[in-house]
Amino acid sequence: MAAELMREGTPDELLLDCHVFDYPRLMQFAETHAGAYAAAAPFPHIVIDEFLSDDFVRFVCARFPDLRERPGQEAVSAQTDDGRPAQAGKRWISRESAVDIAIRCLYWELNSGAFLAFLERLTGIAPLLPDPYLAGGGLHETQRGGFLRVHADFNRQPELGLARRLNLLVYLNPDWNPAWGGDLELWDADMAQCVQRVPPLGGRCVIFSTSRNSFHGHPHPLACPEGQARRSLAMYYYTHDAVAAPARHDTLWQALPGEK
Amino acid sequence: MTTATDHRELLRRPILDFSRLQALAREHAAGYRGAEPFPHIVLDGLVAPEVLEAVCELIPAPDAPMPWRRVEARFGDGEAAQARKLGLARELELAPLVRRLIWELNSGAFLRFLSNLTGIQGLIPDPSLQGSGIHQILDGGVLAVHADFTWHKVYALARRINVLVYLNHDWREEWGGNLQLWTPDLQRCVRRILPSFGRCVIFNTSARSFHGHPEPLRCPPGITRRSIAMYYYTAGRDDEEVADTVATDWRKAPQDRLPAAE
Repeated sequence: MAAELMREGTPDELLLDCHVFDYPRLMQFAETHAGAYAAAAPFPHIVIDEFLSDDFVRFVCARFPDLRERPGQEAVSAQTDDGRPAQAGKRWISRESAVDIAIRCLYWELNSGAFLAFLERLTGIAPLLPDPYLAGGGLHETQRGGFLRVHADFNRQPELGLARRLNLLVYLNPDWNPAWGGDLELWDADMAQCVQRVPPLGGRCVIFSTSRNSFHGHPHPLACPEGQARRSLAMYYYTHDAVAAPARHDTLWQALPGEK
Repeated sequence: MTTATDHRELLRRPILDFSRLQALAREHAAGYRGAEPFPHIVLDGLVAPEVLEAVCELIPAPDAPMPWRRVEARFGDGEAAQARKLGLARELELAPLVRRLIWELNSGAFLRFLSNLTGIQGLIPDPSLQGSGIHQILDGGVLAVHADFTWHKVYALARRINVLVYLNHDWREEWGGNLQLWTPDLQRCVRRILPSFGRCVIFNTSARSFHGHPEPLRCPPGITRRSIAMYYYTAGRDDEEVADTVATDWRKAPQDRLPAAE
């Protein structure tokens, strides 16, 4: 669904105002869609088209850092328990000081109290805490041939002792051709079937509750042209155990049905 | 008077100098941790003066139509513990530059600076700004010596650090309002710190980090004592046994033998 959730103005103005979103509208949207979010299959989630406008996505893309300069970013947790590659062709950068101030402003707004109030209303998970260190989050990029196997995320912020509860992904691919693949797949809890496929279209936002069964990924090698990449911004949100305490686990890589 | 356009220019780059902050943390870590009566530091110029000049202009007047919260507290005998203090924490109602400063003070890079300075790892900001944000004390106002609440009851987090940034040009000692830091037994005021423009005071908070400005303010009409206050938390704490309190612990501290103001 598309929703007019941004304020009027150029991307530059909105970011310099430190006020990209129209919060009364966001709260109204949360009110309207909380029921659908909770009931969504295979696990609570929502897909919001035009969460960021096309010109805003292009503005962010123009400031997207060159991640090819960062060797070693592909190696982390790159194998499943049975030795298969877990992810390939993927780079990311979490350190906020490494990105343009406009992107940092977007991070900060997505971690602000007003935005967290929207997420709490939409998802029913409260009180949410941000991760100012963006552990595992920030900007992600997958190259041609790359993939991310279906998995459930690590569920504990490594430094803060907080439980991971929500993922917010925003795709930064303004001219994406769905034939290139890279759809985000949401799988059911017993890994029997993919229930939702979400092409990573520019400005689209996917928000979902993370649990040990919230299996997701884009497991098929990306068929985009050389030089193109599947880009996204990822924010993760947490709660303290005293509020709700899931059991601790790391990333849980899953085999697709044909691979078992 | 700067203009809105100038503020935009200030916003085109980070308003905190994060690389300088890391050097400051290294330089002052030992001093901070060994400071009496509890770990703290007074740093002038942590935030660039041109930013704070603009912030000063953007802080709404006490009578502005803003959602100022008015906080009052009394001792059991009726004496004022907290009086004529205004707080503003609704970030969307603040000017963009002020909101940005608050965001940068809650950013990962600033939290790393605080960890390197204080030795406290795993710091968590408070996105709801409970009790924090912009503070403004009016003439006659007081904030008795106290230890802050140690437990954020909404998030179930332990309060660990306060950061105060003062916004008062040409503050005079005789106006009062100097920040006093007291020993845990409340026998001695160790420091009395003028709330001067651009001055930043950072300190560890526990059930015994007694501080306040208990002398009633005597400032001229139109002047208030203004600051930005930010509080930082961790999930649990391992430094010492600290009773979980959800309210301020007010104390009466004798005002007859104070150190010189600095």
